[in-house]
Amino acid sequence: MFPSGQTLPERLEERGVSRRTFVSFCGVMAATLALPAAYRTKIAEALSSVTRPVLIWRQFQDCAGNSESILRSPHPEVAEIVLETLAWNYHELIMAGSGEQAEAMSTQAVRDLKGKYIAVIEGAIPSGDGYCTIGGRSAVDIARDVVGNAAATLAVGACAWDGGLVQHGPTEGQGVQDVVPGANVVNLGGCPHNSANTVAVLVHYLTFGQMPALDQYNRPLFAYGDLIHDQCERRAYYDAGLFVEAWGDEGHRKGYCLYKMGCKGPAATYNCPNVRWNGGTSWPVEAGHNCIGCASPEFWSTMSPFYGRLPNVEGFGADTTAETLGLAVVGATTVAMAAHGVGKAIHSRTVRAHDSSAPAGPEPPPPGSAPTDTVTDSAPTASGGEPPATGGEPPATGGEPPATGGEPAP
Amino acid sequence: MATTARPSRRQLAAAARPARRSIYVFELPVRIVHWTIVAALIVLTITGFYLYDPFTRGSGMPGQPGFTLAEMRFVHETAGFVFIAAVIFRIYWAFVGNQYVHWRALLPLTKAQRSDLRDTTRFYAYLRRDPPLLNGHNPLAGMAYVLLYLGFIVTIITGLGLFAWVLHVPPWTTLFGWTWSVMSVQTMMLIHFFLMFMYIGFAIHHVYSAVLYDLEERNGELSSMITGYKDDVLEGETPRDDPRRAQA
Ligand code: SF4
Ligand code: SF4
Repeated sequence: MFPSGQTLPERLEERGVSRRTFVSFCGVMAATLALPAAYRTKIAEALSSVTRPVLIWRQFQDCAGNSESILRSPHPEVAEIVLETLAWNYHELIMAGSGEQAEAMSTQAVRDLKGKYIAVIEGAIPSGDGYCTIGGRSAVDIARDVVGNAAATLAVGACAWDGGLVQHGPTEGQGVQDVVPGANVVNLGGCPHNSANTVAVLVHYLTFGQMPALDQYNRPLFAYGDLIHDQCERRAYYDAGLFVEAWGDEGHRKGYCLYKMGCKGPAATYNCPNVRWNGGTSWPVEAGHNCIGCASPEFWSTMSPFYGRLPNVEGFGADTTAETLGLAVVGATTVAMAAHGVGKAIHSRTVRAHDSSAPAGPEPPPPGSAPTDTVTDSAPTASGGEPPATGGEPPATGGEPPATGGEPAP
Repeated sequence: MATTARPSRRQLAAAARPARRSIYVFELPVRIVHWTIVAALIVLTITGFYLYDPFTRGSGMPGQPGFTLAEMRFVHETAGFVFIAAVIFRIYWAFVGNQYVHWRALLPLTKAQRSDLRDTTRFYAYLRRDPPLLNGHNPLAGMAYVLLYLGFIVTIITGLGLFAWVLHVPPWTTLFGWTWSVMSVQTMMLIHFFLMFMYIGFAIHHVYSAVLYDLEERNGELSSMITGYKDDVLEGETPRDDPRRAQA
């Protein structure tokens, strides 16, 4: 399957990647995995001695963004290392073969290397009827085959994790773990995944023979364990209360916090601020855009609107925020109470007017009513002398002033 | 009592009787809890709204960065724990307190309570001139408090879930990390935020009803939450067949 006899450093040397670059790559991997620096040599040794495991990269309903993310490395050496360490037997985007010949590479690996190869799934798996067939087989079928027989599977990107953007579309896209329950899956959410993490997971697997520690979503803790907000360089502005109020305003130019622009950093976890993008050049918040929480569960729905503080309240028109609705509730209560008070005042007076003109008031005691009613209603003479419609003040202002400050429980 | 311009029939009837005796309704712990919750909710509302939308620009000493939002968060979290303590205590007191604040006084469990519930509803709906005679909570209010406390519990759980999220360390994650899988953190914030408006609405209604009852009953309703005492409106009335009501 590959030129045998050569070690990884030798093969890399042939491709123009120096030993030095390789070792420093191992150092970066150790750092990404949050391992002590001493692990650099251990990783280098482990990678040099592994016999190039086969990797099958299958794409389903995707935008190829995750493939781009891993292949478009600004440092070609890193891509070389990754491509040389593993035998990428199937990856639609980069393989030369096509048609049945290419498909055979995948099916052959599944057959011959059962339980030995690594699968990477990119994109959601359409579960709706008749969407996405490759070589006559449905995506669900292929996924079950490839993932079910793999030693381990990496679900890269938001869509492969939980269906992502197309989860609620007609294709009913699903994540790998939904389609193949019980498979050994590591979810690497993100839109796209940060390839530094994906490579680090592969390196961890090759070095230690097992996956790194995972959280409740089967995401590696080293990458998804910390809040964006706690690693953000704008955090001091957040705590100080200095915010960007509009794109391009003075605060924006000064690098203030993007919280009021809808930054989801406080609600999201990822190591984005540390690993960064484009070879560690920058990351979105540093570049001046708010985080949209792309590595969070079902982030397309849970983190919407991307430029708003809180989710909109559904069922009240398109863009009703909790604030609008809440203020409406408060306003309505106030109006209702005021109206009720006025109503009570008028009602009291009307009842009394009737009481004084007719012995039977508008509210005869209901049959079987409590004795208190009888007491209340059986003293018409007590108010009989009062002329109707006297006294202008409503009850709220009339009579003895109530004890101030008290707020009893009626 | 009968010196107002427009006394009600009951007030006139009451005037014919000697002054009503005072009864102790709200025990000291209940009053302390009540005012603690009021104070905590005011602080939590102001700081909480600031955390949602930092409406003033943070400031510090000249030449020094401020710490405005972080301080707001600190106050919010501290007040939150005071609030939690008060709510837990009030729930405890609903089991050991007197007949007026006992949990059984809050729900329409007995026939008499259900009849009071109907009468109170009729009173609010203008179908009845006077509210039913009661020294403690009326059953409609009792049910409102049960709802309120259910809201408080949701607020507390979402608050602790968010607190665990912010800290992201054990033991908080162990204790309340489970909330994150029940709903997204953003949804948790939304619920926590929206309930605030419910409490503002409740407070408006609560004060209104208290004033209304004070005016209707003239029994010291408003001052009772400070002194603990109300005038006994049941004095001289035929006691109902409800043991918790009879002031024997
Ligand atoms: S920019 Fe976003 S992540 Fe950074 S401190 Fe502000 S809210 Fe937090
Ligand atoms: S800043 Fe947030 S949304 Fe943007 S890439 Fe990083 S984690 Fe994803």
